[in-house]
Amino acid sequence: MVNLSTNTGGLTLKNPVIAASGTFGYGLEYCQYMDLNRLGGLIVKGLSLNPHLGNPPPRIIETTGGMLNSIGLQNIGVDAFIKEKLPLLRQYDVAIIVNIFGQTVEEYVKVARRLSEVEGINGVEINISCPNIKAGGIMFGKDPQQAGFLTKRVREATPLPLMVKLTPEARNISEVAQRVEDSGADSISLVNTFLGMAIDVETSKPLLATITGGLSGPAIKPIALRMVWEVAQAVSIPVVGSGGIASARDALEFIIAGAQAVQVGTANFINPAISVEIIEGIGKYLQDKKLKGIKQLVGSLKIPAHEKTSH
Amino acid sequence: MRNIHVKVVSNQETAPLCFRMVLSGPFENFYLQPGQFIMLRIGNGYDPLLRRPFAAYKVKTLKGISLEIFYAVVGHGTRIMSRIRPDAELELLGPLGNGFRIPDRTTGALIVAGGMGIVPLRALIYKLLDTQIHSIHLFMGSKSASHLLFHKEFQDNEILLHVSTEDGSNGHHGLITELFSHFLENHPLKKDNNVCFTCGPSSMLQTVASIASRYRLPCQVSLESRMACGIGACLGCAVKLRNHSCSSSSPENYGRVCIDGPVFDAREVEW
Repeated sequence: MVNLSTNTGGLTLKNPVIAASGTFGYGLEYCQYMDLNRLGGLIVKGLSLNPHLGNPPPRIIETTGGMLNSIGLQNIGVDAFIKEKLPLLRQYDVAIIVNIFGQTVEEYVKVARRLSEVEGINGVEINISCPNIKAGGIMFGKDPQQAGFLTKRVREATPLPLMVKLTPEARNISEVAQRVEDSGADSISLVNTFLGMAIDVETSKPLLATITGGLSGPAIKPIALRMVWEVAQAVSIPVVGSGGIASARDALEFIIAGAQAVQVGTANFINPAISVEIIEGIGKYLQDKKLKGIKQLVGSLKIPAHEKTSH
Repeated sequence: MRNIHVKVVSNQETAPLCFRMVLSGPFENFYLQPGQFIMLRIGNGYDPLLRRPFAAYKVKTLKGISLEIFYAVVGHGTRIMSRIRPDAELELLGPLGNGFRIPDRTTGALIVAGGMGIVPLRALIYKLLDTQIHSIHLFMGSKSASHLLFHKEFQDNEILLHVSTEDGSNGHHGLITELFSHFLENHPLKKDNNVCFTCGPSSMLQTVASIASRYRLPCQVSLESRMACGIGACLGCAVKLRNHSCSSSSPENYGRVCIDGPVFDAREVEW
């Protein structure tokens, strides 16, 4: 029997597959279509201190091999989550990680503090990477200094394992990662969506109401993978890889590149039970390769000697 | 409500750029209420990436139960769909969403269908007839006579049919909302017992909703939206609602067409 368990900085997961924030609602939306107990973890939709209305429609559009979204972090607010969703979610044997965001540092701190007061939450993911809100979010994620400052403040506010989700829009994502590590994060997740747009040529109008939106899905996978590989070398805390993962082979690529765990996002929309298929596929791969566990695979990328000097 | 594997029995063009797809699969316990929908995965690869939502209709034949989908080629996904051959295997998620509700004591129905909008209303019409509601006025509008779906089927029934086409090739030459409005003007209703049900292009729905409101006629609209998941998770199919129940202090809120709808009380929608 292979050991699929992994650790993402203070948080032990029974397997390395986590449902990504924003693609998995409050988790409960999926319980009719799959067994939530099978997941390594799930990350709740980004929560703010107060309910957030989100952006006007149209909010999504499919593009080649991907989709653009500009949901704008619509959510019910941290208190409603704790009251209405958490009691139901806690009944499942799955690590519950809550994605949080705010317009100000203070708001992030308040949300983190509130989540630390209740039972049943296994970790917090700081969202400094959403491209779809005017204030907060990505603003903190593009600048290493601000990312570090925010991480430090949230770190002081909560004893919960802290994951920080980075944006690929940062000029130097490894630098942001290092600063976040130095500021007390337990792990780093990357990448969030890439900023993109699409136009209806019949009307010359943008296809999203907000003009631009975040690109996700298989289209972004090679770039996400490259960034995960780079960041995994730049930091010593665990890295959680995401960006277009839609199969076990995709997940394995991220793990070989250095990720301790992966997040599955857009693929949940296409097949609500895809995470379970990915978990099974990873298990089968380990078995076939006669590997005892995930840990042997993390960062096992083999670079031929002549390649090491060529870039 | 699971992901099920289905097989394409046929996929034929019934009018220019309008197709009928018949699917076979394990539909014995597939209880699809009128107005509910399915998400169909078109192919197995990443093009198109997302499933597409469709109204579906359950048909019982000697060969078993099949599901009928009618769709217009409107974009990339439906263009690929139109090339799918019989025997292709697809994945289907459903039934999804909330369908039409027939209030107790309903005695009459006014149904307004625009184009493909007739598809979810067809099952509703049969349900109304089953529920012994026999005063049914069906207002059916389309681009042309060849785009009128189930037109003959309804002629044989005890339904009062009002037809309009934009090119005048059948019935009233113009919009169906004109016929609907004209009808209400000339036929005073016993207002409490009639319900209006409508599905079609957004601009038509808005007009129908406003006409219904003028005559104090309860009105249920079936909305359409781009969707990624179909199960309430992605929040991509947002529609602006008034005084929505999940709303806290804000006078308006976004509902999800997939799970809060697709059928809404017309008064709930912020047009």
